[in-house]
Amino acid sequence: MIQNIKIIFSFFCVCLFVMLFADNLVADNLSDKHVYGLFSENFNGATQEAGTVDDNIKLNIWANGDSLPIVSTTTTPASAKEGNIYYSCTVVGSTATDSYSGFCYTFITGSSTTVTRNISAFSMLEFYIRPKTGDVSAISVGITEGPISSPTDRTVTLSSLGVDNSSHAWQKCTVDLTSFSSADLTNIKNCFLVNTTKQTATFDLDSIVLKRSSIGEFNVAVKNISDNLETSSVTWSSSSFRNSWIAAEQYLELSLDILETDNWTVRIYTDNGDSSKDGLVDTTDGSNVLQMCWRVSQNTLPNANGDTLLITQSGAPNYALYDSGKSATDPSYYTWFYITDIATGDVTDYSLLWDSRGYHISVGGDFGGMSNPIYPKVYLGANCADAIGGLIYSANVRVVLSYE
Amino acid sequence: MKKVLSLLVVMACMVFFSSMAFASTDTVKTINASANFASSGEVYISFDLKNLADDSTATAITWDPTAVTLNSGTETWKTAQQYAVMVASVTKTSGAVYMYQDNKSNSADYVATNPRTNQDGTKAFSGLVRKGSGGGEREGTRGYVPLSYTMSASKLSSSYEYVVSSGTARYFSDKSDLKSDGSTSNLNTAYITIANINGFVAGVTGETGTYALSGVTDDTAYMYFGGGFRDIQGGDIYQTENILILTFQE
Repeated sequence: MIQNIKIIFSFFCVCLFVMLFADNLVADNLSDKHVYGLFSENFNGATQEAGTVDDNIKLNIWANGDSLPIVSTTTTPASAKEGNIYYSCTVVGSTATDSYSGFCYTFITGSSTTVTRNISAFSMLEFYIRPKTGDVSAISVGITEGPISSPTDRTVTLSSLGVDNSSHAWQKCTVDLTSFSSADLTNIKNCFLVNTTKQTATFDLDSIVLKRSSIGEFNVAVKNISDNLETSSVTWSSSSFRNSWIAAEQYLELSLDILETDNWTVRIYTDNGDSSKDGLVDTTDGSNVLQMCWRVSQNTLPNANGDTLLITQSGAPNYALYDSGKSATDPSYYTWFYITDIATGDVTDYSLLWDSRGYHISVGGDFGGMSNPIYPKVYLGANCADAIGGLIYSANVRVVLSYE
Repeated sequence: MKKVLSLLVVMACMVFFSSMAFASTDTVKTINASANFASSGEVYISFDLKNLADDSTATAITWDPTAVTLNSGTETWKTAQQYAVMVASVTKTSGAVYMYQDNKSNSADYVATNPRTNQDGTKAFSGLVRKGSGGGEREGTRGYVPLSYTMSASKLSSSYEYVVSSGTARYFSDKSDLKSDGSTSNLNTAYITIANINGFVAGVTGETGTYALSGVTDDTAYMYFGGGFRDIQGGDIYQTENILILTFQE
């Protein structure tokens, strides 16, 4: 009897582990997310040829008469609309009869089996385009409806979306999926489609997402560094006493599923009532403050890349904070930011945690795009060198998502 | 009139739409962060006596009798031949290091049984007690030689001449000192505290306030002792056997 219970318990534990481990790999973002990233470094969604059951897409390219389109990723953060990477696209048309070309994201399962999926919860297909050469006006974009054996494209032209071909800046395009009145959105083969017919042009694409009409959520979870389990608050252990910069025992995990506008920021502050109280404040009379700092990472820390969570402070004049072992002179390695109190306002970017450029990597002004699963981790540190025994220090840490 | 009205309407619309355009929506998440050091911290001191002359280790505080003028009629402060090197660490908010005497617990020859009266009326048992006197008022009985101490962030020269009026010197207190009405203990922590959370205590402002000794490095400071000699006669021997240095924390 006891042996049977042991076997059942073991089986239960294995199942639980598999469920937890597999959660991100097979996450059905399509049914969960309000903003579903197809090509996005800030929003969870599909992953290209990930071999997973649900959020799996494949980039397909074709041509007949026209040249095969070139659709390649370019990694130039300063030039991307979002994150680090964008698509550089080249289409070359011909004069041949019935010539055409195109490319699309196709839902697949396994390594390459085409499937149709239900995107009826989404009302908009949004993306950014940057015309470069030629004329993109007549290029059409949209989706492809199933069945797989006899698909139907549902598209609109870029000119109908208001794209100004003469402008070489990023321009936002919104395809109203509900305008495809007869389309069956429950049975979609290609979730993003670009069709060209004899057009010759070069252009860039970035930040391709599906959006629902309803608004999603912005959440902040507190998790233990030790076991990644969710908890309620951030703490420093008593062994931090009288030690200089020490990382807290927990991290904050952010979950962003809102994209009402493109002017959004996530900032972090203390909210302790005074600009001078930018840290942990003693709860006795508030006269003692332990400075705090923060850093954000796409993945959990510490890692094998030298992100040690062992915070080191350089000397004058910068007093920069970086992970032990990293460069003390290169600001791109200054991954820790001194926290500011909300009373100080946003006089510097030291409160800026995340925006459309990605997560704020360093004081040097670097931002990083992310890939699925996108749940940035925020780590906190405090300088406990001057901590006073007998006192309890506390801070209200505020993470604020703002959008206009 | 119509033009003015139209202009107002246009302006109102501009204000309305501009406020719409720049209206910011915030979603705020607040997390508590804390560090509980209620049980952390220490109170520690080492107190090593050394001879001023050669910095060798000493075991008692003494004064050179040849430096004292007999029957002087006026109080003259003399530096003891020894000083103390102190290393302290007080990292607890309620922590402190106290120093005071306990002359009532001296052996029979040097026990203080009678206090002297200070200028403010308080009764003091502190200082060096003349052998066999039992203490008492200074006039006539010559029962006490008052003691004082001062601290420095750096080591002073071996010829240092004690200055009691510098504002940084403090009289020794005795645990049996009494208030002016003779009722209760007159131990004032401001006068007996030699170190606390702010570091070494350099002196006293007013009756209770203390101020930190500046310039201290490596948690090390130096203490020098002064004796206030007056009307000393040949053959007199003064001594105290109990100077207590103790750490305190709640």
